[in-house]
Amino acid sequence: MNASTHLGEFLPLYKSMPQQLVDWVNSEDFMRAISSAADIADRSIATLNKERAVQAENLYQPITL
Amino acid sequence: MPAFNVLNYTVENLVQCFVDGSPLTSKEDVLAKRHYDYFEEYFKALGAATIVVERNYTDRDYLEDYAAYYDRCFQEYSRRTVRLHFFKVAFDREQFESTLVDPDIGITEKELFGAYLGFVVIKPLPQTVVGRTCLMTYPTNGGQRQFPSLRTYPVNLFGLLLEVHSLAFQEQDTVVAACATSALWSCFQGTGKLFQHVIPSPVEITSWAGDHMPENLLAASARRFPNAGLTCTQMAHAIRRVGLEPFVVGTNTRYSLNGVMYAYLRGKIPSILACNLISNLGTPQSSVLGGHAIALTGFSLANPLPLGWGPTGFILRSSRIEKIYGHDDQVGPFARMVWDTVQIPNFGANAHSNLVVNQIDTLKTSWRGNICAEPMYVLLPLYHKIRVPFSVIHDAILSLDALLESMRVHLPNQTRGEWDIYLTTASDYKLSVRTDYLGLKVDIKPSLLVDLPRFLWRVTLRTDEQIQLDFLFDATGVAQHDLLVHVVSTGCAYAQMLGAIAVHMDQIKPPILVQTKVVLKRFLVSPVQSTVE
Repeated sequence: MNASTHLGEFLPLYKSMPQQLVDWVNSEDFMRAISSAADIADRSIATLNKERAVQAENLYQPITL
Repeated sequence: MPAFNVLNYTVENLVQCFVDGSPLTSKEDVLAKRHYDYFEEYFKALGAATIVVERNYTDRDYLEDYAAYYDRCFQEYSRRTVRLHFFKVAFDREQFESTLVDPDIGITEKELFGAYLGFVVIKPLPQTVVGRTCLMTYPTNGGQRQFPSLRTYPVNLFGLLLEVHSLAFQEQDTVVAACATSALWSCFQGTGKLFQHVIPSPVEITSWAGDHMPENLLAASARRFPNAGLTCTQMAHAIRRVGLEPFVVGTNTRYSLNGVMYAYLRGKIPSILACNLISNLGTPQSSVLGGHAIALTGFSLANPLPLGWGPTGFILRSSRIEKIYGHDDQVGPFARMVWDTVQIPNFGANAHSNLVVNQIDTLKTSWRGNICAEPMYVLLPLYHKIRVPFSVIHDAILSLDALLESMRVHLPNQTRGEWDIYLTTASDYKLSVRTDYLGLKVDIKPSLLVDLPRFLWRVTLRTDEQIQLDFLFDATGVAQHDLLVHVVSTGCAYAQMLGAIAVHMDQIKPPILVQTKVVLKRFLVSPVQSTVE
C-alpha cells in the first residue's frame, strides 16, 4: 500500500468506469490534469481577491442618498 | 378624537391616514413619495382589506429621536405618533369594538391574529413620515423567495395580542438619520435578537457613528446632526458600539454579491449593501445620483439553472439569485432589486470607429424611473466568534471543484454538482438533519450526536437537487488549521472521485489550499481499483 494512504475499504471508483479510466487516474497524465486544474483555480481565486478588496475612496465616500 | 378608527383598505384611505397622522405633510407630499408607489403595490400583493388607525401611539424609536433633537427645536413637534394596522379580512368599527370587549364574539381575536399583516408608524414630521414599519413579507413562492433574518414582533392593540414575523423598517428623517443609519437600524433589529445586543434608536446610531470623524471632510460633513450621511468607517464604528465586529467585503460583481449576501443571510445575518445609484445607465443621459445604503434582507432563487463562474465554471447555488430584497429607506421594506445586464456603449468613441460596448450586471431598483444600483461593498455586523470568513471556505471549495471537474468530464452521464455554501449554527444544522437527509440512505445518528461549534460553514453538494455530500467547517476556528468537523457522504460518484484524487494530493503543483486538503484527507482510502470485471 502506498504510504500516503491509510487503511480503508476498497471503493468502487465508478460502477461503470472503464478500465482505461482507472489506468488514467494512476497515470502521470492524470497528475498533469489535476495540477493544471489547481493552477486555474488559483488564478480564479486571485481574480476574486482583487474584487474583494475595497478601494479607500469607496470606504471614505459618504453614503448620502 | 377617538382612540382609534377602522377604515376599508383603499390606497386613497391610506394616503389620507398619512396626511392625518402627520399634519405637517400635505397630500401632494405623500403622493410624491416613492413609498406611495411601494405601499400601493405591496398592500395589493398582501391582500389588505382593513386599516385600524391607532392614535396617540408612543413609539420608542421616534421618542428617542424626538428627545434628542426635535424637542429642542423652536418649532413644536408632537411626541406621539399614529400607528396603522393592516388586516386581510374586512370588518367595520362596530365589529372591532365588539371584539375588544369580548374577543370571542363577532370577528374573533383568533381571526384577527390570522389576518394580521403588520403595522406602519406615522411620524408627525414634515415629509419624512414613515416610521417603524413591520409588515409581512411577500409569499415564499414555493421556497424561491427567502427572508431568513426575520423575527417575531408582538403587537398589543388595545389588549388584543397580535404578532407579525418581519424585520423592522423606517425611512430616514434626514436630520438624525440618513440612509446609512436607517440601514444599520434595520440590520440591528435582526442581529439584536440573534446575538442579544441592545438595539439602538436611529439617533443613537448616528451619534455613535459620529464619534468617528469622516476621513474626507470636504466630501462628508463632520456634523453629527443634522446628518447628511455616513462613511463606511463611521458605519463600522457604530457596529462595534453594539458589540459586533464590522466586516467589509468588496462585491462589485453579481457573483461576489450574490455569494456573500446569500452565505451570511442564510445564517440569519442581514448585511448592508453600499452602492452607487445611477440613472439611465447605458444612455448618454446616464448620471450618478450618489452613494446609497440598503439593508439586504432576502433573495429569490428564481433562475432554474445556476450560472457557472470563471474559467473552471464553478457552480454556486447563490448564482440562481435573480432578485434581491432589501430595506431601502427611500422605497420601503423588502424592496425588490432585479439583476439586469446593461450594455454600456463608449459614447466618447470616434463616430467613425466601431462603438465599443461593455456589458455590466447591475441591480434594477424599485425607484421611479430607470435607476440602477452599482454595488460597491457589503458591510456585515458579525458576532465576534464568527471568525472564519466566507472567502476561506469558498476558495477551498472552488479549488476542490476544479480538481473534481478534471475527472468528472471523463465519467459518462455524471451531472456536474452544484455547491451550496452558507453560515449556520449547530442547532439549526441538527434541526435540519431529519428533513435534509430524508431518503438519502445515510445514518443520521452521527449527524445528530456529533459535537459541533456554535457557528459553522455548511457546504452541500447536490446533483439533480439531491444531496450527495455535506461538509461542516468550524467558523470559529483558525483558518490555517483543519476546520472540517463533520462529513456526510452518500458514497456517490463525487465521493469516489475525492478518494481517487486524495491519493495524489501531495503531488499536486501548485500546492492546494489547507481546507481543500483537509476535505481530501477525509476521503483518503486505499488505491483506486476498478470493479468492472
